[in-house]
Amino acid sequence: MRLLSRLGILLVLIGFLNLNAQEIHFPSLSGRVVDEANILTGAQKKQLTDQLQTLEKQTSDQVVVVTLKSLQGNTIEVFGFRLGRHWQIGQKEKNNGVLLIVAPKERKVRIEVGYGLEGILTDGLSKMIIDNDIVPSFKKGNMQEGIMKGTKSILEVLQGQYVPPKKNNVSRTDKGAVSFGVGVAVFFGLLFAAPLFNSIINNMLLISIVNSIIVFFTFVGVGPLGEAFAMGVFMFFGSIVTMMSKYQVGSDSWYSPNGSFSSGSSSFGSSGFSGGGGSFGGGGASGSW
Amino acid sequence: MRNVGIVIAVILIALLVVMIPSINNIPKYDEAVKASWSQVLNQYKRRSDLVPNLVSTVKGYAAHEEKVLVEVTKARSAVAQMTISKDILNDKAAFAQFQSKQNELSSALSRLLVTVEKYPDLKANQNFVMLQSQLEGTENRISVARRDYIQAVQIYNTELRTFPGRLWHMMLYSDMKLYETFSVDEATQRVPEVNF
Repeated sequence: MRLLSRLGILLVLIGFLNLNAQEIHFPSLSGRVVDEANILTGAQKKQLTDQLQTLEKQTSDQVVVVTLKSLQGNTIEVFGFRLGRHWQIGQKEKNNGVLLIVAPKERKVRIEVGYGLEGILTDGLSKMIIDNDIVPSFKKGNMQEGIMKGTKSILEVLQGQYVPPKKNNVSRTDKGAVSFGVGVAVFFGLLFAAPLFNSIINNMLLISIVNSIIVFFTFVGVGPLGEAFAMGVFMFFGSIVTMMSKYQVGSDSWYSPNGSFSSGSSSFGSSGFSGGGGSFGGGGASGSW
Repeated sequence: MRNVGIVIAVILIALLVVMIPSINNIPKYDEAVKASWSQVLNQYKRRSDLVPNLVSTVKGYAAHEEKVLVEVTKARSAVAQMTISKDILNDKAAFAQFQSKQNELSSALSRLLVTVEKYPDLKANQNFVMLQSQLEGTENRISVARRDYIQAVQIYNTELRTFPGRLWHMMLYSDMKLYETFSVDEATQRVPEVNF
């Protein structure tokens, strides 16, 4: 009985460590096209993925197309930048990620632009793409066409080929610098990613061991040895589990003091796509239909 | 008695082991607060810079909506003339004043955008559409920056108030104070909504 009640107290303590839980449940980043709402056909997904992959090879910009089942009670603006930060779309040094987010249930669409691309894919251009390319198709009920057209225009803007109706051309000149930047990013990413990962694991182990030792000695002072040992072991696993879950949540924070879990380097393969560590600050535009 | 002595010694050592990893937390979190505050100022500045252009575009189509236009211009110049001292983050009154002036501009702007609904020619104007989407984007950036600031302050203030940060604060960083944060007032906080 006494053991049980102490276990209870310990559980409460561990619970306190984990208060920082997250209220939005984000879909997992399964690829460059995350079709949670099942709008696109397999062939369209393949086509989009190829286009987006080509773009990243050229400019290092990461663009992801997302359809959502639900915004879970958030505005699309809030959901958008938090999703972008959670996935860390865009390269870490350049924050050059873009999300095209479609929420058919709420009838909202948004182009979410990372810090680094706000000057190229401006709010005005994003709004134009939404109004001219996406919303008209959505209004006709042709979701697929809207997404394909919208993505095409986003890609054109990023490649400097977009010609907005009645407006000047937008050009982009620093291609050489971009590919050099990518090389550097990948090099340093690989250099730093592994040790960073290790140090987090090591920290977790260290803290857990310290925690369990503290608990062990505290209980040795007041009870039988076996019980103290059991409490120590329990605390060890409790701490590990708590910290694991802590490192998984909260990654959409703009500032992560403990060093975030970013992959550091971008992935160029068709499978295993992941964000490069980019961040978002609310740039872009939204629309509804 | 000897037993109790050992337990106390062990607890003291354990305390130290737990405390040492967080020795730098307070200055680290303090820097994060300052950085996110700069971002807040930056985005408010951006909005304030957009206003003259917006006002002159609207004037071209809706000159007799003088009341709203004057309100916006006044609120804008109040914001622009505000001097922001270095210790505004520790100064409750100054911080509240900053917030209320920015909120006045927010509500003047949203009134302007509502008024504009009556002018289809203006709404079709390409220049106006661009300005309006920039304004919407900026309002959104402001709310993101505010959210980041609130979070950074929360982390910092919590560190100052809880163990082990509280002890470090007493020992090493006693000159650092709690920071003021935004109160979320839903009515004034709302981004002006415009439907087409």
